[in-house]
Amino acid sequence: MMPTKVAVLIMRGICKRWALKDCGSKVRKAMLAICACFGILPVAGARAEAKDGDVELGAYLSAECVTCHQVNAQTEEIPQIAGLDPNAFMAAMQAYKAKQREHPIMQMMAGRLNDEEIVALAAYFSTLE
Amino acid sequence: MTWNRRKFLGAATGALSAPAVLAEGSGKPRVVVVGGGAGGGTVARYIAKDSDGAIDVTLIEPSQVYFSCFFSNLYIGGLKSIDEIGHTYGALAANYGINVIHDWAVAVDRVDKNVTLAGGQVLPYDKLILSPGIDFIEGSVPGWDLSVQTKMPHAYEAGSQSQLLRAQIENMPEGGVYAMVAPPNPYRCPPGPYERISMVAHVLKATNPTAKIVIADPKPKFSKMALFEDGWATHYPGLIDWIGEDFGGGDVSVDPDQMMLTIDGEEMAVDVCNVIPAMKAGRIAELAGVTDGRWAPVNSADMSSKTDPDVYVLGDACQQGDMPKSGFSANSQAKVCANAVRGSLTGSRIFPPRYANTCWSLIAVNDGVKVGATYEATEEKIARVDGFVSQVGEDANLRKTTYEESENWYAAITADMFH
Amino acid sequence: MATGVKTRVKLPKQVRAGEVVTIKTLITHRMESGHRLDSDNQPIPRSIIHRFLCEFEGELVIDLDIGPGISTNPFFEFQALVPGPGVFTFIWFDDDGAIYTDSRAISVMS
Ligand SMILES: Cc1cc2nc3c(=O)[nH]c(=O)nc-3n(C[C@H](O)[C@H](O)[C@H](O)COP(=O)(O)OP(=O)(O)OC[C@H]3O[C@@H](n4cnc5c(N)ncnc54)[C@H](O)[C@@H]3O)c2cc1C
Repeated sequence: MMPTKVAVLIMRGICKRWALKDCGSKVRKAMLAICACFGILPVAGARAEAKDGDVELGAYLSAECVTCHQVNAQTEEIPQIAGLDPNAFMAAMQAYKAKQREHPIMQMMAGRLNDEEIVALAAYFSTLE
Repeated sequence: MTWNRRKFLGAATGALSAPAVLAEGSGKPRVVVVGGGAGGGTVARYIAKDSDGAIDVTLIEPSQVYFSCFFSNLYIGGLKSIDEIGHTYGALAANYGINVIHDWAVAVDRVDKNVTLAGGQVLPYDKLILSPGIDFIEGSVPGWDLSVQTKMPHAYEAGSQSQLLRAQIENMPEGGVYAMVAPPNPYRCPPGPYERISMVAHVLKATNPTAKIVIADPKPKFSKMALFEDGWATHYPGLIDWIGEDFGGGDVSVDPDQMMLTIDGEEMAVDVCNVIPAMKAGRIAELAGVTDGRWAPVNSADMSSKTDPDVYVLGDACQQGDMPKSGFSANSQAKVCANAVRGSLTGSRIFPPRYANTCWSLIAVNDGVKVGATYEATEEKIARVDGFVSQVGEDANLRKTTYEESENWYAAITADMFH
Repeated sequence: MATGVKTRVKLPKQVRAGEVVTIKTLITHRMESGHRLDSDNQPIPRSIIHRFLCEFEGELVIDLDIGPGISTNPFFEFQALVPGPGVFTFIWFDDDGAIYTDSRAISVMS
């Protein structure tokens, strides 16, 4: 008779490859597809302009940006806000949203901005010196 | 009372503009903010800045200089000076007319709506915002209490505690032992203790390579664990011994007089003992009667207390749901709160809440990692929506960029709080 | 030889005869998978703990083959039935030929 027996075996942090994989990858893919659709629209279609944006909404939303981006101070890795070209800004946000442009934080932050909000931000930023 | 442009606009267009509350005296609605840290600094600044003087904002903070916990580990690692993590309140007063009072709030009367300061002053409020950070739970580490914090520092409130810990590490005997008693969940800055270990290892590797680091941890795993373990194995092989819950890391007591640490019944002599006890909301939240257990529950829509709609609790002290207790979170919550408070006092537009967090940690010089997420307000809590985390095995250039990014973030967020 | 290797074992010191105990082991080890590249794009040679063994008084309790997908500092938790007093021996085998051992005596209540 076996004097000892193995009953349970648990290994923690089992697999590096699993850890690397994003558990939400399905959700991610779906989001990507959705974002890509919407992302193309404003560029190809009606062409939203910064001047049409809701400046007050933009000011509120911009509070999220200035946690990392200073308005008037350029730092090594994180660009400043003042002086951004509104169209370049809107295109950049759409590109992050569609995950065509790399950067995990920017993809995440832009990922939840809708088109109205992106235009609002552009509108607000163009009021800054 | 003068109607400024923004307020007029707000009142005209706001969907649900509440009537402005008028306090006696100045004729303006009054907001009192307790605690001039990550949450308090931000909320005072945003309310004052965005209301263009229509709201009377008072900030109560005992210290003349706020030493941020964020980047205090880099100070311990010798990568930042103490001045680089110190911030004063002059700009908040000068630029936005905030009334900064250097004193302790000692009592809150929620019926008569006023706050009493240690100096005896009584300040009436229409809206009270508490962002007092954390206090430690008595008895959570047997043998340790606040009276021995100069022998066994926590350095979990920055400033003199950080300076003391750094000096102790620099003065360790050759081959000595640095021990950390890590805190149980939930606590301020989940990766904080492990970033600290990295920075202590960085110092010891250069100055005292035969020294040892021991961590007694009541948790079975911790924030960014795979990244830290991988980084420690790369940069500091053999230096760090992490004893988690599975190996008795939660069964700890200390003897400050003898400089002894007992882990799981085994006693060891230590040269530095960095005790980070269990935490709860800063005491004033409890005195105000807005806590339930250790923390102050808040509504996810505007950070108002679940006990009192005219009291708001921000940052580490609140219990909101999924956001980690970080400076970034406190700053994010403060902006949502500022918008809601201003709206309810002046009728300005109230926008839907949106929250985010990113925490950078430094494992070694130029080896930075990050974790971040966005959050939304649900009925029940602030709930995580989307997020990312650095990966094990990323290339060195990306890690260096991540570190540089964190320095830029520090400059921006402290400006967003104090300038 | 891999540097900084340290083993850790936790199990009760005393049990009743025939009782099932939980044993936890951990070895502080880099576990270099062999799949990674260094800064010059050269593969970093594999260096892992590839086998872990636990015996009780010469009887096998558990014998594990471990692959390169296992993360840094492998942790194993398993249960064993203790028939009487004796010594558990734990052995970790390193790719580089090193063998790390640890042991724990367990007594039985009368
Ligand atoms: C080692 C370490 C590293 C960290 N690193 C990071 C990081 O990299 N990124 C990040 O985002 N976060 C980090 N944090 C977390 C961050 O410091 C806190 O989450 C943040 O400071 C919380 O903000 P707060 O406003 O709630 O509290 P605090 O910033 O602590 O501010 C509270 C203020 O209230 C004052 N106060 C308390 N009681 C009273 C009273 N009764 N009357 C008047 N004033 C009072 C205190 O003096 C204090 O100034 C770190 C924390 C630590 C300990």
